[in-house]
Amino acid sequence: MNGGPNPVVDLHDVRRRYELGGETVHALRGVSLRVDRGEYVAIMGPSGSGKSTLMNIVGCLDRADAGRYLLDGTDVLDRTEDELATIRNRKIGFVFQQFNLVTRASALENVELPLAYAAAGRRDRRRRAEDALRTVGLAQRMDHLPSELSGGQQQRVAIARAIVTNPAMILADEPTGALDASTTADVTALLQELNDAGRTVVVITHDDEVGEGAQRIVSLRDGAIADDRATVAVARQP
Amino acid sequence: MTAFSVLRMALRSIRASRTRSMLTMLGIVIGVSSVILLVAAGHATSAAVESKLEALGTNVLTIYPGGDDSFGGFEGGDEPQLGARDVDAIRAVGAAGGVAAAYPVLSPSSVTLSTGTRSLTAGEFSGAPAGYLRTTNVRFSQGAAYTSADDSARARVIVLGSTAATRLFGPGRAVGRSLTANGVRFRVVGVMRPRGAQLGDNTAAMAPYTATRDNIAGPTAPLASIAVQTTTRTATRTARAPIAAALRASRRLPADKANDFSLFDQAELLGTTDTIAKVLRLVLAGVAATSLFVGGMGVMNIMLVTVVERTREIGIRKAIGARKQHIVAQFLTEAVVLCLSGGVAGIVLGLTAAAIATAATGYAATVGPGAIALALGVSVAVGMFFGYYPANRAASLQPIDALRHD
Repeated sequence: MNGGPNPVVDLHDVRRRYELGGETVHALRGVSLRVDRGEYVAIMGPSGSGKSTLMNIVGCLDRADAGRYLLDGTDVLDRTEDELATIRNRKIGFVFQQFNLVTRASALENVELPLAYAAAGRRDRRRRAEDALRTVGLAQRMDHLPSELSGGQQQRVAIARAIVTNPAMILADEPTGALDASTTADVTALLQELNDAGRTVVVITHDDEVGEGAQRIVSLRDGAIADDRATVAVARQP
Repeated sequence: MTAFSVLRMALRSIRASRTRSMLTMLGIVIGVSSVILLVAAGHATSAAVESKLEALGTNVLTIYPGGDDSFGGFEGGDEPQLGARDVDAIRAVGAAGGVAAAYPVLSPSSVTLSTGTRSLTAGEFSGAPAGYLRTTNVRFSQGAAYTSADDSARARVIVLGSTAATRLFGPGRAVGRSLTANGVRFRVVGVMRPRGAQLGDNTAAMAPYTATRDNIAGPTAPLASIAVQTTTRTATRTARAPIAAALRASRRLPADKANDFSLFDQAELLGTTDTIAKVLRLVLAGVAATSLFVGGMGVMNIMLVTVVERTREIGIRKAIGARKQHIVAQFLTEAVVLCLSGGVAGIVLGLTAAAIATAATGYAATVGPGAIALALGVSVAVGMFFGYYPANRAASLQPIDALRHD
């Protein structure tokens, strides 16, 4: 798949450093990474390896100090904050470790939210949100508040919210970090299904089980890519 | 993001912390009700001044016996008195001196009105010519004033205050009936329209000067006052000197004696009332401004707390595509809804207080739709002004920092 046209993520020599208590921390020391359409990539590495920084830059939540980043063919460096918000809204579906649902809004309203910011019409919003919730198997729980849902269900709402805008990529940050073993398996299977349906999935994790579900594992160490290999999952594929 | 869903979100988060929201609104409630009362008080005082002016009549100077410094008693025997000769002297000043007319007013005390079955003591009994009724703007709800012909014919006719008429004859039945005043028969020709409660003379009765002198007060009774109608409004000032000179001459006062009479322009006293009303309005305006400011600060404070509490939510919203304007709109709407709710409560409170004031004073403390629109506008403006800073602060949070917030 590498080398195909129009990669979803195209990072070239991306660098990021922070000033922390008078000390300069080099979180990323020149990372180049391509993720092609339809890929399922796991980014792994111990804490402090720079994977969170990478996730923030790939997710357009943070900006690189140097390098080049094309997201779905669009150069996202030197964009204003509002432009980045629109890019996140259109191109990226976030799944967070802590689910990050709006607590006072129902499952349906949470899933509608990105569409609301994209100024979609009321009916259109509702229909697409219902479709997304059906896809993640929560058709019966649409009107529940997050507090009335289990952790696994909340994460599925978050996944529904991530796919509702039909983004170029689903970006999951430790999606199973707050879940027990059986729900971890559910969520992993759901991500797998979404990838099977053609969606590009990038997951940041330190959980080997989640990583093994991907086609490709990118290992980070000390702010640089240490290893980039295909997994057994690829061998299983036809 | 539609305006409707922004509004729904704002209402939901305000409801989520109901107690806090209500306490926050309190300052706005007080401020807005003060605004409403301010307008109501303005209406009430101008209504009061107008009704008093109307009751006193325009362009009227009143002359009372006794000098300006006479309240401590009189040296050398007799109290000064006003008589018919003084009235003639004032009339002689004429239009050139600013005098249009002069009316003697008798005011015998404790006049008992009786129908045979029912009786009451008139709150005030005045005997004055027909012209006096016109000058002092006495109006009638039934019947009419007695006339100059009644004056010259010494007719025993009488007009009654509304309360006196009802008590003696029952509602609406006084005109044409007879009664006795201190035992002398009079015919009722008119019932005076009720006046403001503070004027307290709805049990008053008035009869022609001649009939009162002949039948009740007696031919030698001194005058309670002389009412002078001046030619113009300014003449109430300019006519004072010629009137005083004429009175001094008619009373043969030596040059070294002070006036033993005094001149009052009662309309001028209203100026004082007006000043008091102005001070009252200023105080109310101060209360309104202060509590709106303090209330606004309270709203700002609570909105800042809300922004901190909901930092993570702001992070989520930004991550999934909320632009600055979306976040600003959300928090600004919340602040405005908070203030507007307080404003509506304040309007209700203000209108209630105004209604109570109207019932208590008898002066219409009315509040028009304009005042309500003003109060609503002020609430929205306070919400916008004090909500802007917190909303802007929320909008400028970095999504990455906000998401990390617990």
